[in-house]
Amino acid sequence: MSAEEKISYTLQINGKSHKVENAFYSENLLDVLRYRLGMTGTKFGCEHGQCGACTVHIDGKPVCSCMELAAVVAGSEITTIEGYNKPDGTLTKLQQCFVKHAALQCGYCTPGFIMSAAAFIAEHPNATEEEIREGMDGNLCRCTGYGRIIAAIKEAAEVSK
Amino acid sequence: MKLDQETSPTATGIGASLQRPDAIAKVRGEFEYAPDLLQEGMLWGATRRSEYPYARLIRVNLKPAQEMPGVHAVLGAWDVPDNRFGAINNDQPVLADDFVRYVGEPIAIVAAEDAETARRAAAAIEIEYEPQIPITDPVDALAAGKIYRHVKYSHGDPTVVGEIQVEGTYTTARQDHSFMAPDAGIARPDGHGGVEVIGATQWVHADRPQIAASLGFPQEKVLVRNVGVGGSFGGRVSITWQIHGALLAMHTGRPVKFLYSRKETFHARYHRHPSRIWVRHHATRDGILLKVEARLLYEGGPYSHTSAAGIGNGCTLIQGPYRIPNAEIEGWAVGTNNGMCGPLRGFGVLQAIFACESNITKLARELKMDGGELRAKNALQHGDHWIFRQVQDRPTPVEEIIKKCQAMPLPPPLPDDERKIHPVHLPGGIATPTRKQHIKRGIAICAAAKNVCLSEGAPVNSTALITLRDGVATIDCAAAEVGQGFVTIACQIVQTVLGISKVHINNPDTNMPPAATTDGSQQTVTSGTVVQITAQTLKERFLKFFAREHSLDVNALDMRDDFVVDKDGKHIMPIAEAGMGLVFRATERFDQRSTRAIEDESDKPVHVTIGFSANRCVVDVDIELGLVKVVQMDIVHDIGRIINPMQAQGQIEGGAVQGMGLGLMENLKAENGYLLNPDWRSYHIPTIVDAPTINADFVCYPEPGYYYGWKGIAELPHVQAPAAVVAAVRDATGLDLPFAPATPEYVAHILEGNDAITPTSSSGDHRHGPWKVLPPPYDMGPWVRK
Repeated sequence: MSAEEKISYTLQINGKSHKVENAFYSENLLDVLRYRLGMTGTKFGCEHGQCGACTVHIDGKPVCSCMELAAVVAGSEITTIEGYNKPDGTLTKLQQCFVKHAALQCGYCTPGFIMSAAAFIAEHPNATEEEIREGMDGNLCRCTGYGRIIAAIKEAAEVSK
Repeated sequence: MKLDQETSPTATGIGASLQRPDAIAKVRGEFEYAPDLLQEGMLWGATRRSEYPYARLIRVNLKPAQEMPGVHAVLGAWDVPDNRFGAINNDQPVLADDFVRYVGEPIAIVAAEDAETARRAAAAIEIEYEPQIPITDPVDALAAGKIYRHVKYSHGDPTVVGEIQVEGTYTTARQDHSFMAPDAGIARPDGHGGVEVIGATQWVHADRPQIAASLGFPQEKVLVRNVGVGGSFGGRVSITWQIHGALLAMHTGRPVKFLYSRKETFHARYHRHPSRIWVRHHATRDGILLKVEARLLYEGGPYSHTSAAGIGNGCTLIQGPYRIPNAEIEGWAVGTNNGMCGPLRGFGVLQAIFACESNITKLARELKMDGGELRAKNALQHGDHWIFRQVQDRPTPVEEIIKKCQAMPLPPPLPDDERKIHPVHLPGGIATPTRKQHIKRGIAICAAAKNVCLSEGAPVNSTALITLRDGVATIDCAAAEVGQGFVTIACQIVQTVLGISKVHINNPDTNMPPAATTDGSQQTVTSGTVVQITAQTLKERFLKFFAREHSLDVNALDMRDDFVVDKDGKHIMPIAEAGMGLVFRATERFDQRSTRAIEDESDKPVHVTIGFSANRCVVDVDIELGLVKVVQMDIVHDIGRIINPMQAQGQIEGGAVQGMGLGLMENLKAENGYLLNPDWRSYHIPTIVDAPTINADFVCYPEPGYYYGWKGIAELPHVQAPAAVVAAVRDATGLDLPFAPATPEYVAHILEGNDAITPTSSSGDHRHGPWKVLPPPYDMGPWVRK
């Protein structure tokens, strides 16, 4: 398949089917989400998989959506921040912890951090600070200096007794 | 003081850690940032940029782009009504006409149906260049007379000679803002012959005149709206896509969206001025500073932009926060073809503080004195004269800050058993090759001074409008929220003054009266102050009305807890009812005291006010590999009064880590005018593994001239961090490291016994690593698939 070729396919996003028509094979998942499907909660940061702002879950794993061709992930279950959010508008424990610990300033990296951290916490209950630093190293933040983000994820990872 | 560890959604007023009003939208991904903007019927813009650092344009053929299906407009220099603009001087083309002067300079712009078509069309434009020899070394630029400003002044008796003299030449690299959200926005016709420009900016009221003049419009026909700023740090005061978008919107009659790629953002952006500073301190044998001599060379881009202001900041605050009776200072801002330079957090001062502090550390070593003791001994005091003929007439807790910083607890040493150390705590981080026996700890303290507000005659003022209706206040103030938290503190100020809990703030646009730019740590002290004054006026009006309606003595009334209260605090009536459904409004303007250029004769100050801080940095260095782990930074800051403790702490932590980036890793290299590492794969910014533990503390002496005595803090943590980090690496290695960043390759290079020659050009350290090969023809990144 060449980058010039145009194809149509169906993506499974947040439990719903989304038809993508007449798209270049070379279009990445991030652009398809943002500009074809209008889901702009997933952020465009570097287009190189360096910053993690565009993190989504593909079959439960955190992935930089800028690094995935959309056509290739047709058939996988994709979850974006829109699908992660509680539909009633309230916050998940992780989101509450980000607000409580002032883990955001400009907030542009935040949806990516939330998606990465949600996947991280699922695998690392009661994560230590060291584990959080190692596990969250794929997400960049330029405002906070990370200290508050670590505090937020640490509290969110605590399994209630 | 004990700082809050969490925010509160309900706490009100000055002193509370109120949560950001936009926090919930931001954690849910529902906050709309400039790159997210979408509009019905919009076109996509793309920019064709220069592939040469310096070349004559022989021919620009737009036709191949114009003929592509889906392309609606292709514009060149001749389509721009007034093709010169600039932040201060109009010396910069909107689209290059006769020459291109840096790689990435805009030459032509395209609007097309979709982003991919726009990029392909931009790439299809045929350009013929006649390459010229670029100036890439600021020393050559100086010799060639490409000088934007030459500053020269002396203070006291410049012939004084100290028993001890210590000198050095210090350089800092080109730093990129690397804010997370790339440049983006939408321009659209307003339907009445004018244009709306909607995007992320730091100062709507400076963008408007530049856009209007370029389009040949009166200012009234341009509306600039600030939307969803994803970080700024000084970067968004510079025009990038805005005029291009407005031109294309007017040509096509449709909304046009621009969204830069990260690589394009690196090329289009105005970076921190690389610096080369020679400084010599004279002191007595007891360590009393007698004189400072300095020569500063700042590398600006091929157009002047704000370089003149940057060198002014550097030439004054090279003094640092010290009492120095005599001085001889000279500085130049020059232009090269290595790309544009402009403001970045700590504008012009960071470089000078790096040189000053590096040399003070050297002096301490020469005198065999503790660095903190030497600094405290020479701390500037209230009533002292600055070397730039300004009396320090405001609180000056420099000595206290340094001593308090030194008294903060140090981190424990690394455990002896290597297996007990998690690699995130080691130099090199995860998967580090470091070995415990090669790790040495270094500790150093640095202090800094930074001007708060724009200086040297730049007018600094803000106007606010506050409306009170049914017990709810709404603030209109055009001060830009860029993540720093002005929206939070503005609401807190109104809550305190009006005694109410519900306060909203509107997004800035140019329909509001002007407000100061989000630069120079000045938003709290300028726009915060006008919000307080306006709220005060509104309160007086409201109480006068209430007193008249109820035949009460206005002097016996107050507003508190959402109630009108009597002088004992007893509730009389809810404010929501007391207004009887009417709308109460007040508008006020606040001007900072006016300042003068360094060279001017008047008695005005050069800087509105100056803030102080100290940073004690602890590092672990692998003395074989040059890897550095910053273990801890202890920071004490002069703040006047804290409005929101969590936000204050956030400014300190974020600024310190950004400054640590320049201290250890951030170096946007240019070779022969080409940027070598314009993306985050090779331009490294600190990650969550790199970030140290940061302990912040504050001293609070109310600043005169402001009712609540506050002081700006946004830049100082960044300003002092490179100096502190590199000083700590020097302490660990015993090396003379005159260059920031002290990258592993640079430290190891010197550890191997090579000379610590200060690099002469902005190319940074001598060894360019994997980026040695030149990249021409300059490719536009993955956007362009030729």
